[in-house]
Amino acid sequence: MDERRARTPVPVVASAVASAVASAVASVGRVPLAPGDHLCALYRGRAEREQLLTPFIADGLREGHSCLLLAADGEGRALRDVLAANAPAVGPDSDGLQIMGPKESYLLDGTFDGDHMLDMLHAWSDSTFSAGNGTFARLAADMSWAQPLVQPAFIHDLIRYEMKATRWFMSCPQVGMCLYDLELFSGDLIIPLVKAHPKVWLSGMVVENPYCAGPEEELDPREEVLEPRAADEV
Amino acid sequence: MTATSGKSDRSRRKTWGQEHVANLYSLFVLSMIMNDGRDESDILRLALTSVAAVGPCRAEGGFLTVDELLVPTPAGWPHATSEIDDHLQHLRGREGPIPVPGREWGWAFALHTRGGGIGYLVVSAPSRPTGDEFFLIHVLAQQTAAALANATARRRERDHARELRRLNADRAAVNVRLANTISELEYQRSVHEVLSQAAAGGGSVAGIATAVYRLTGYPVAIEDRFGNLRAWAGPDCPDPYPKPDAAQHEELLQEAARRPLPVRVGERLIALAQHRGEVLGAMVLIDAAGSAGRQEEFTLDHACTALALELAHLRNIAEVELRLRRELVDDLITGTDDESAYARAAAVGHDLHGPHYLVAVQWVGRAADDAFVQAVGRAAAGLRMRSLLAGRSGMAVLVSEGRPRPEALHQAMVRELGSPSGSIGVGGRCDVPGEIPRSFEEALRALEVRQRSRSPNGTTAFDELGLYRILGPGGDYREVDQFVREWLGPLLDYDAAHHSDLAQTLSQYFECGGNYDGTAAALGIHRSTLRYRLQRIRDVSGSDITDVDSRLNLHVATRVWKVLGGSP
Repeated sequence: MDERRARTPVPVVASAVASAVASAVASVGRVPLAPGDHLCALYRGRAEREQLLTPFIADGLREGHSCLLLAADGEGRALRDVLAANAPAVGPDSDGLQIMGPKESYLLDGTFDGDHMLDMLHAWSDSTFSAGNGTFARLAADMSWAQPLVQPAFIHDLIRYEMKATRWFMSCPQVGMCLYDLELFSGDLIIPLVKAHPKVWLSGMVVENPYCAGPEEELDPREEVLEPRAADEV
Repeated sequence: MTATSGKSDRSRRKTWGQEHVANLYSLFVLSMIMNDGRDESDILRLALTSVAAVGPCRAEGGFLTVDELLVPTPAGWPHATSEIDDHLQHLRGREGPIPVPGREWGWAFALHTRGGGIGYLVVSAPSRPTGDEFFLIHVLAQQTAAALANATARRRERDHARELRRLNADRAAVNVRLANTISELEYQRSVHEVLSQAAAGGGSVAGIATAVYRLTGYPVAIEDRFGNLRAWAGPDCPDPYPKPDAAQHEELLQEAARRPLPVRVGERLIALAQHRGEVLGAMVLIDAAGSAGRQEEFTLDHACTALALELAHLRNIAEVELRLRRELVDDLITGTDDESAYARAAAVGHDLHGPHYLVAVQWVGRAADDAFVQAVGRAAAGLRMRSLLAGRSGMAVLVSEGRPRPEALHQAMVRELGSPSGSIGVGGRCDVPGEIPRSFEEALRALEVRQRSRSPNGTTAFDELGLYRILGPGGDYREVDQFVREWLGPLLDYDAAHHSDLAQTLSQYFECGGNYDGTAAALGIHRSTLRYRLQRIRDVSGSDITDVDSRLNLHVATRVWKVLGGSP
């Protein structure tokens, strides 16, 4: 991982709702998002996922934003069709939308490596923002692929990745939404996820977490308090 | 280093504070998830899987109190052993320590709500947790209990709502049934009203048919017992109306009489009009589409009751009229004054003024019952005879207006009864009722003469009796027969042997006064043929037809022979 990128100081996200509204560049379920926001959306079932995902990406395409959709395995084509139907002016082959499955992103080497994934995200943002034309970016990630992998060590790696992703989101004019299905994931993942995200969307509400575990904690090798404990440790 | 160490301590305190608040925040979000509509099992599963994420503990199991028993929930949780269950029973709803094999510390967090204890969340740890860690698990247990209470309330609410929906559905169904019943009653009332109006307006059979047509919209036919059309209401009345096969029709009536509801035969929906078990007629709804339903069946059934009353009434009237006619005929035969006779005849619809003839009808093997008298009535009606009719002493008696056509009447009777074995006697003309007894006696004499003749099947008119008129009724005709045989016997035998017409030729010769041309014309033969036959008559009979005495006896014999039937 690029050390320069990892050490770039960024402010802790603790913005009030009012300021978020004022600087809103996107929304999820009518809840405004500000540049740099990293939202954890806890939804139930496929229908609710599409209610969140479709307008988020379709609105971005209409606004001329660069959109990256990290879809669940085998759903890329279907999601592209749905988006084309919801944003017909953009079309299914729009340059503004890039869809990748887990095998092209999170599980590129067959296993999950958060640092490799972050390198990929940095490369994507370098490419997106290189023109310096003031473009804005949106990222949505359906995390359903992670369900079969859930165990303490994986949770540890995933939470560490999410914390670093928060730093990455804050480094560019972009917003991101990670989507976790409550019908697939249990408390062992949900609790650390909530602690690691500055904003959580649940049942139409966004709950802000000013005390989320920020990148600073994640970067201090002596601090492990935020890391989830493995079952065999307890 | 000191500065660095102090900064590190502040950072560590800040990090601890943030961590603690972040844990509480995550429990808050977890509580929202627990309360998003999950059932009790899902809530406990969420709590159990969260235990390891908020402290150094392991979830041993969740238990829910169901009917005063602790039930492991969710089923199949790996650490929920029966030993834990036993220890929980000893706690009796309180929370407290619990031994867990291989673990230094175990604790049963009681799940309390306002209604009391509803279960346990059992956790363990390799060592006793800190106060903060214990506090977080305790908060998790409290939130779990609250979410379980909400879930129970929601379930009850759902059950209540389901029960309400069921009750509402039941009530709606009852309302629908009630509305249907009211609608049915209103329809039945309208049927009753319309049929009552039809009855009040004269209650004719046609009126009933029209009323049923108005009520149902289907064409209606009313038939008599034999399938003949009595009335039709609605379009497309068949002309001529089809006459059913008698045997099949009778079978259909018997089948319909056995059933409580109208019977469908093809496009016909048939109901019977019955009075005291006797079928008087049938009402037929013409329903080609087969769309008639319960309302039409009700209308048909109700109308058949009205029709049965009407038909029974009509039959009673007919019977009374028939009785009056019989009594009138009896009185006319025995003799009554003219004025009374005219008045009574007019009362039953017959004009006694003008020439009348008495007709006596008797058939072999048939008693003079109602069926026989009715058959005579139908035969007379078929010949357009206006008459009074009665049964009397083994025969039917007609008081006929105008002279009846004798042979036509006999043929009509043969058609009615299916047998030629019967005799009819026609009396002489009577111009006033006072002459009727005499005409009746003459009819009896003509009937007797016919019955005693060699050809008893047929009609004999008193006017044609000739010499027989002078013979009293009930007399012995053997001498007369011998007289005929004496003078005509050889001719009759010859005719029988050679299929000739010598007797008929002789009779016609005398009736024409001995005129050759007239006789030949009447017989339709040539004059020379007549001359030849007369010669054969002289040869065969051995009588001289020019002799005055022989001529007289032969003439009388031919007359008698003709009266007796004109055949040997």
